[in-house]
Amino acid sequence: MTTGAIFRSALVCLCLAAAGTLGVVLKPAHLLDRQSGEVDLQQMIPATFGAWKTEDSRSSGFRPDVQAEIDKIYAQVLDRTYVDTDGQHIMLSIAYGRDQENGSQLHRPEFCYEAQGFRVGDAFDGKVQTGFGEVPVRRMTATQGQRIETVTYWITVGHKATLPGIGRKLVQLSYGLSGEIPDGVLVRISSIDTGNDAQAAYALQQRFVHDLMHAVGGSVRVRLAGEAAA
Amino acid sequence: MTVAVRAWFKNTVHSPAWPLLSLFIAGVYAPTYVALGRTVWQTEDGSYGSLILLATLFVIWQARHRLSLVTSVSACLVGFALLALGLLCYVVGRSQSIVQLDAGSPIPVIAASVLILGGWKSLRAMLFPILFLMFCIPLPGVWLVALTESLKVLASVAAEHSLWWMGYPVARTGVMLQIGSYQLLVADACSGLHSLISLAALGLLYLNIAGKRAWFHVLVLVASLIPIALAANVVRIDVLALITYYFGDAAGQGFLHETAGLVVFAVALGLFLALDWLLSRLLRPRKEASV
Repeated sequence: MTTGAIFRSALVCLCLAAAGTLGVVLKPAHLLDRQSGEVDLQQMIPATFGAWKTEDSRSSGFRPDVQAEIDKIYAQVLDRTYVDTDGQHIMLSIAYGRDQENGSQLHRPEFCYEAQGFRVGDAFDGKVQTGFGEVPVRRMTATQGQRIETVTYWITVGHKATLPGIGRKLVQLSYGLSGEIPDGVLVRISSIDTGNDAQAAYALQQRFVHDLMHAVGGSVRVRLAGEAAA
Repeated sequence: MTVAVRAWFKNTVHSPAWPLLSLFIAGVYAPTYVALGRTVWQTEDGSYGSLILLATLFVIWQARHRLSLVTSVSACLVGFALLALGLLCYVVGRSQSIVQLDAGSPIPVIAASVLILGGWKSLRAMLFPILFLMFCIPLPGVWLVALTESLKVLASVAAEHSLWWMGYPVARTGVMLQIGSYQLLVADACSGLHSLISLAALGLLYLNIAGKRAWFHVLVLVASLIPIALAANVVRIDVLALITYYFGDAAGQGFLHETAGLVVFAVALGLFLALDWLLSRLLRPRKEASV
């Protein structure tokens, strides 16, 4: 009886030891970022392209504690306002994270807006045509008093564009299990919706993405919108 | 001599099977809990985690006499299947930093080990502490935000109504309460999520330690945990609003802020224990009559 128990115990311990070892060995150690060169958002994204040109950079307008949080999470953040020849404004925000571990994972803009006191609503998922391929995007409206901001965003993990949630987790997992640590880019395009016409705002944002993708090179395109848009 | 040693061994340690298993489980899960201790348990949202783990170890230790080394074929079959599933979760969760899988895996892994070694009876003895480890799984960020947000709104609405009912000049926009000339923001920390989880854990632990009770009794007590915790949080917000109303902003945000939280949590726990006592009194005479 006792020898049987010891045998069973040893068998379970063997399984435990094997799992413990696998848990360490299978940890991805390879930064995907390193293979594809350093990232400099300021340089990667042109200040003028097509009908668009950068307006004098204003402060991001984040509350100091939110700004501190942003600086902690992301390796680089680019915040620019573009204006086209018709005087239409687009705010572009790109956040770059070196890895996607729990501490430095790209945050959902929903939470970011809510932390700023916006009410976020009318969220739905759609697609944006880059002219090179489709990118899955989430769209939403953030409201604070009189200010209505229409937002389009997506996340690119490694070389694949996705959205927060299960999709992102699966992309991350497929990289991780092949031993690679993917970097992450969050691209957010928003505009102040003065006419209270979300469809027009989304069309404007679509045009902006299209123009931006045509203005940058192939490798930057992969960084921003993944291989599907290359 | 050898006989004496053998007898001593048999009577004290019983068999090295359980200690050996405990050692390996501890070795496999030490990195998991150390990582949690360095990250999630340091934050306000997960600070109760280490206490849950200690309580679990204590309950397991208390129940160790009920373990046996007699198993059955069915227990072994189910046990190994469960072990494979649990360890798969562990390996993926640990290596890919999916904290919920990592911290959730000890539940199937320990349950399976107990099943293989000591059969269904041993698992029954250990079921509570094993399931109690659920409190050690950090809530996913999305759930945490959604729960905090809805609890905040619920608490604000309830506080507004209760203060209004007591005759105070109160108004509310979203999670912002206006009382007299003061404005109070029901912040994330005021959602009551922490006290809700802590009270639920403490209540269940108490029910496990306090001994046998009728199923109806247990059901009522478990069901009462959530309303008690929610009500206690509303009382806390009311009290802080009234302190601000009578003594000003500084008083409401000062040390009373923390103290009020502790006092109200103690009252909630007291309420739970009082309900337990009341149920014991109500249910006992009927039992005696039936004997």
